[in-house]
Amino acid sequence: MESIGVLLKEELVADVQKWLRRAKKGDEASFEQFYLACKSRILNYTYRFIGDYHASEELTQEVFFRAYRGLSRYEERETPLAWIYSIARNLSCNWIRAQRLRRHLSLDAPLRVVDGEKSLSDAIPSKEIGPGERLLKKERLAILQGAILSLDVSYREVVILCDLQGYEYCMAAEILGISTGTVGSRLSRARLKIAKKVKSKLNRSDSGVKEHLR
Amino acid sequence: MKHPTTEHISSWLDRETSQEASHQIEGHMAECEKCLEKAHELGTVRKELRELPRVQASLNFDSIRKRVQRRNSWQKVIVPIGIAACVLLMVSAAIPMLIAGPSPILASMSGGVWIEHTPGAGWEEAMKGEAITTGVQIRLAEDGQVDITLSSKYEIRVKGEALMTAEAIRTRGQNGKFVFFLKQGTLLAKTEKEFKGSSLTILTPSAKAKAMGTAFAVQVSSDALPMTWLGVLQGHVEVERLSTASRVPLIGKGSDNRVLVGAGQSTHVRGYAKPTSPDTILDPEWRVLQELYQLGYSTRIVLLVSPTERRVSELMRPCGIYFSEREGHGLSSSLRLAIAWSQDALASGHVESHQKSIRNLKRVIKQQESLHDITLMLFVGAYEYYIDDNEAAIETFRAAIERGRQSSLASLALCAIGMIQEEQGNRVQAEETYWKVLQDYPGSLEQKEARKGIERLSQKI
Repeated sequence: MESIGVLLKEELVADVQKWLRRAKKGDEASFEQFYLACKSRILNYTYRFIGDYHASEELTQEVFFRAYRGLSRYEERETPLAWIYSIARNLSCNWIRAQRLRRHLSLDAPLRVVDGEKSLSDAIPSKEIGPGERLLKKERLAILQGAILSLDVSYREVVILCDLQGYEYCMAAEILGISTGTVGSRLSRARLKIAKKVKSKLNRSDSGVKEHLR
Repeated sequence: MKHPTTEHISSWLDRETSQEASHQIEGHMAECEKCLEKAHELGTVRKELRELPRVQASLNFDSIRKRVQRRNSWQKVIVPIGIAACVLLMVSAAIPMLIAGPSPILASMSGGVWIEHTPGAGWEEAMKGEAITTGVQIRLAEDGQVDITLSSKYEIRVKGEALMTAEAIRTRGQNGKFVFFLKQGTLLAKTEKEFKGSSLTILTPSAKAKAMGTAFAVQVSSDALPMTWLGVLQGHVEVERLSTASRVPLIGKGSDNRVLVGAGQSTHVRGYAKPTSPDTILDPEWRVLQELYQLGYSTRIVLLVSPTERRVSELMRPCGIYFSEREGHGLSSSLRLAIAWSQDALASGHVESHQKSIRNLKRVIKQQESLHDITLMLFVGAYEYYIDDNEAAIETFRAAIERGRQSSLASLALCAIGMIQEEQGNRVQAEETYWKVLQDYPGSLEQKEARKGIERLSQKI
């Protein structure tokens, strides 16, 4: 499994700044480069943020479309990544808000764990892992994603940026416009909440898994 | 030593603590089982989160590029004749004027739907594409459902055993005032961003609801003392109590005759009582409102003709076609392709490519069963006339009339046939066609043109 070591290298920041500067002057190819370098980050961010793969694909495209449209408002002193993430964050929040009305109907509806994820976890090495363990693993993935989605937005975004996307506290702080101290405290609380959630869920479903193992 | 906080341990795992603090934490943990366990717990979560699989992006930039290119809402104009680019720009700028003041139309329907065009004119079975003008009444059977849309402005769905009257349909320029009276049944309404500046009012026997950029539903029971229920999904709706049957709002002391219902709320107006204060909607009410998600206008295709008597000559010039699409409600790919073909053909000017593009357009029309068909067919007819394929043009116009007899474009197509026949020298046929326009479409915009045509023909004889 590939872990997300996407610590942003200095030169990439410089590249991104260069691309955006050119794009602002009307160079579409530069914006495309920026898009290619960042789309995966934004897709994964929105996916984990909203938990719906198809919607996150659409959102990602929307994020870059809005970014392109709003290039004139982008100021160079801003951290380019903070800028694009803030668009992604806003759109994701809007999406969640729009969904809430619908979700209101069935609060207990199972969280949508996405096709993409299922197939991904299915594709994860199966040699050493027996079917029971694989089930556990798959279940853990679903529980983890569910736990992330159950967090308040302010916690959720910190977990996604720091743990899932591997940003250092200072970068996450810059993206979110909060202090590194706040990043640290939110992250610790978020991890604690996730740990509790996973524990309780696994306990609850243990019996089911054992039955399956038999 | 004091136990480190959870936050310290968490930051330590991320190597975000100072060297000194790290030493302290590590030292403490060597002795404290409890903190070590905590670190283990947090560390496991941290590791698992970091190992969550990434989803792969199969996205590409093309769709964004395309959207950027056609950003300014009205996207493409096809103008079959060699109008220079500058003229074309003028045409695009003039569009809001050209298409100003259209009536709402019956976009789709199912089950029993009847319409009475003017009071006392008698009930007829409603047809897709009919225009809703002031005074039109619509009656629905229990299984009936009808969607009324004014292109980008709003969409209304009426269903169940319902009776509705278009009290006032006034359009001025881009804006308008629309008042519907729902005597009985269920009505869902959704307005779009473009609705700004216009007003939509739903009257019921006991209440008046004024919508403000919103999606909402109204139900009127058929009891002797009618009850109006109103639920809002988005935005706000102002609900006012009406005085007994006279449909005049009560402007009394105090504002308790009027409530503002926000998103997720509903109100009841029983008989002629005051509206109940807005309350959170219940589950069964949600089910009614949910249907609003299905409403939303689709692609919009407009012939570049003005809504005046001149439109038939504008069509035969021939006219252009104009289409816009909205996110999520795009044109079908086959239509998009057909339009691309036509653009290529118009650029190259070869007869074969014109024929090919016409064939493509016709194939799309055949596949689709939508309201755009008539518009598209008229365009194709004009296109065929443009490449001197008069027989085909007449045939296409005939087919267009066949598909949308009630459409306001039917008289246009018929008059166009007359003009082609006149041009071909088929005087008798042409005269017959013009007379048909006068007879079948009294009050249509083509009356004057048809009369002129008859005059011309009689002079020639």
